[in-house]
Amino acid sequence: MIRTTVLALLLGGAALVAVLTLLFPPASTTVQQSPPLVWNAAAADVVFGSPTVIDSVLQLELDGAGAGLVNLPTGNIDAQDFSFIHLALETPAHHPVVTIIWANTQNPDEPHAYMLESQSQESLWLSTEELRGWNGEIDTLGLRFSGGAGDTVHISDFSAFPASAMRQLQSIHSDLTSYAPWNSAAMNTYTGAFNAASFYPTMLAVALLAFSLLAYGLLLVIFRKKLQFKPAVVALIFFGSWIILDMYWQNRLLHQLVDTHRQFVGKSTEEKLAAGPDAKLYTFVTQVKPLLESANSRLFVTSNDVYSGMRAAYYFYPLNVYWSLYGPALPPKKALRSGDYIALIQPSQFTFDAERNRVTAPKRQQLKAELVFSDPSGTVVRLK
Amino acid sequence: MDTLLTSLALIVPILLGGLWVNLIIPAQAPARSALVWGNGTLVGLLLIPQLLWGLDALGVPLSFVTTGLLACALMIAAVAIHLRRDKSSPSIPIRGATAYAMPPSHRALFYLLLCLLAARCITLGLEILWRPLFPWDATMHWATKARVWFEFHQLVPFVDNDVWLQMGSEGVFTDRHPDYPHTVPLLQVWMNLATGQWNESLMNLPWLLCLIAMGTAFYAQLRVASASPLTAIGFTYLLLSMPLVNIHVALAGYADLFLGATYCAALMAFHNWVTTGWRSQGLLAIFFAFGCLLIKDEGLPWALTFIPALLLVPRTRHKIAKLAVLVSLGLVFLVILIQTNPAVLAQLLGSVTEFHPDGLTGTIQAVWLHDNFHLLGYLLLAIIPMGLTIPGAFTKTYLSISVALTCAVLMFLFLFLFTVFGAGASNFTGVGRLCIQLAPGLLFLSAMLCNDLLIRGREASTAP
Repeated sequence: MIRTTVLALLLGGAALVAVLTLLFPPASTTVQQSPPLVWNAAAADVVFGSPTVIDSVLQLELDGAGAGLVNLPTGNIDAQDFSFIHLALETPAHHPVVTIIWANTQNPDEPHAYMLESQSQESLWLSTEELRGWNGEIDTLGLRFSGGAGDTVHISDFSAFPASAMRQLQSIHSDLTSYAPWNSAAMNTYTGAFNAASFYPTMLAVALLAFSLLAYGLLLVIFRKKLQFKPAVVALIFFGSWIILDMYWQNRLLHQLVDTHRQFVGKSTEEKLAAGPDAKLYTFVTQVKPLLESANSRLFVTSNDVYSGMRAAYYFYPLNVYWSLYGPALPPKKALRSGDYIALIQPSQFTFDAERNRVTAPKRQQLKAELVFSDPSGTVVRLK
Repeated sequence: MDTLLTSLALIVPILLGGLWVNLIIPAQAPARSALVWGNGTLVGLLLIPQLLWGLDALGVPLSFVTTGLLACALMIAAVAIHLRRDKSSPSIPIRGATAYAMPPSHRALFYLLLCLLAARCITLGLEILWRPLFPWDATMHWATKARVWFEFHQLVPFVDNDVWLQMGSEGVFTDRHPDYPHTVPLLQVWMNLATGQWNESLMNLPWLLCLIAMGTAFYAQLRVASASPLTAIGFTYLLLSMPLVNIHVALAGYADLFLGATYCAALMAFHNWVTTGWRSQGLLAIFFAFGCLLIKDEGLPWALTFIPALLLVPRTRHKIAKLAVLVSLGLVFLVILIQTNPAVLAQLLGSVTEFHPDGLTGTIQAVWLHDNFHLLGYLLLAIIPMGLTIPGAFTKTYLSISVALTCAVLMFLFLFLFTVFGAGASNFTGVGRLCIQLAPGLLFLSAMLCNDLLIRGREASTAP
């Protein structure tokens, strides 16, 4: 039974590969004529950053603003001749933002950009079909880095290739094994795919399941004297497809665990928050809290950015905090009283005029206040 | 020391619930240990916050020692009752109690799956231990309460923004959803009370406990429902490997996992009460159904799904008196709802809209395109029609649980297709999270249907 299941899954997998490469090849495969644009570290045009070439690796130190830009010497190329881009990068653990940029000769002033979603960049294959704006004649193709000043990135490969079955499979593999850290939408849905992915993993698993079941049917027909239909084999094929899909999810979870370990291990709650995604906001709040006169004081948190306002309000608890999601950012003047604190978290429609000691906002009465604390994340004032 | 106290805070709910559930589960139940400790842990996770709430209502400050002592007293009572029981009382003969011994290949697969599940729990546990509170709603209306209650050692009232302003904020706090049930924040308070300090990582460990308890109870209830150990562990693997379920553990802080586990526990116990007639399963079903109300507002509609299901239970179907009592209870509930808070009903009616096609698209994508639940959507598409081929499956054997789940799914669809909450499906902010509450129960039904089909297939192949 196990042997039949494994055989059916293998045949199903082979059928899936055949169907993907034969029936879903990149659209422009038949007209592609150009040779691949192969990476040559010595010939790369470094616009920002300090380059060092070691063998075929370009070591790029980001400039004082944390920027780096490397262009490929492409000349004018036809976008449809290149179905895949291969990247091999080694970046610092905090992962600077990497963006592929390209410009069409028709609109040279409006370059297109694709910010890499995946942080698994050791060998990343991208299907250019999924990149918005990858069409027409391209005269600039580059890699932009945005990180910390002095960060060093190693570029082992940045090449563009015409279509081939192997590259298509490598691109799908890259899609399935890509990783990006949690974001604020993680609790709502898990698509399993990035914007630039060619297929949803669930669809691939369903296709594998369907082909494997067909393969099992075929085996039953071919070996009708030896094999007998068993519902358990169907269940095992389903289970196998689920587990294969789950292994990719496990891979993603393990990547996340390594990232989380790097960021937080060995830290206290306060240190974790100071190193986490809200580091600036949390630091702002911790600086403000000791400056408030009484633990019973009322604190009104306002911000034009829902996330920042909500998070700042949370970090201010257990103070008596007011933050409104849908209502007015601040209640009417009559509901406020002397001694109340207002936290103006950036970006905010409210501003504090330090010369006149007033909190002002469009179409609102001004409020007399004194400054308590201010930094780029926000300002806290006390109403007079 | 913190590790010891945190461990103690996790062990107390396990022992509290487990020891009491142990008293009611028949001795010969299949997978009895899993049944006792899986359900028991879920019971404990629901009880501990109620103990804190009860003590606060009596004016006792929130304290780990006081609550722990009360929990210990309850545990001792459970042990005492257990010891005083007449051991010679005849045990109930139970269907499926003698599970056939597994062949070596099945045993190997069983332990392989168990190891994979253990590895997953370790992964998720480490993620909880290392990461501070992260998800959006957790910092908007769940942990806000926990933070304040922990600091003040009492359940300081939370009110709407407007009420807070009207009261001049005297003695009250405010957040986005002040009316949400107290169970989840109090679990976080309990964990922090243990160590005496606010720890945004350790306080989330009950989410891991909830996942493990749900999986254990799921396995055990499948065994009670005649599934073989391999089938039961296989489906438990499917349950515990669903990505969105895992995410709600790794990024702990929402109540959806607790509600999903509690509703599933209620459904499983209800079904097995109907099929086995054990009083213990009936008690668990009642406890968990009411438990849903203590976790999240959506718990009410899920709890109500048991009313139509109960009416169709074979042994009560023809008892007019019971039916009348149930209908009366429903009417009384409706009258109470209208009289005490007519705004609730008005709000419900006011949220109804025309058909929301975007809601349908979003729901389909969340279940069948995104990887939220791996292949659960496809399993349901396949297994329900196949289940129709089993004589009496939906009209007799699985009638009650099917009715409850159908009602739940219809309410779910109504919410996203015909109310203003359709936006929660079209932008994926609500649909996946609500699916978490139903997915475990739907998987349980699928597992039982699959088990039936496998048994029938095996019988057909061995028939002369």
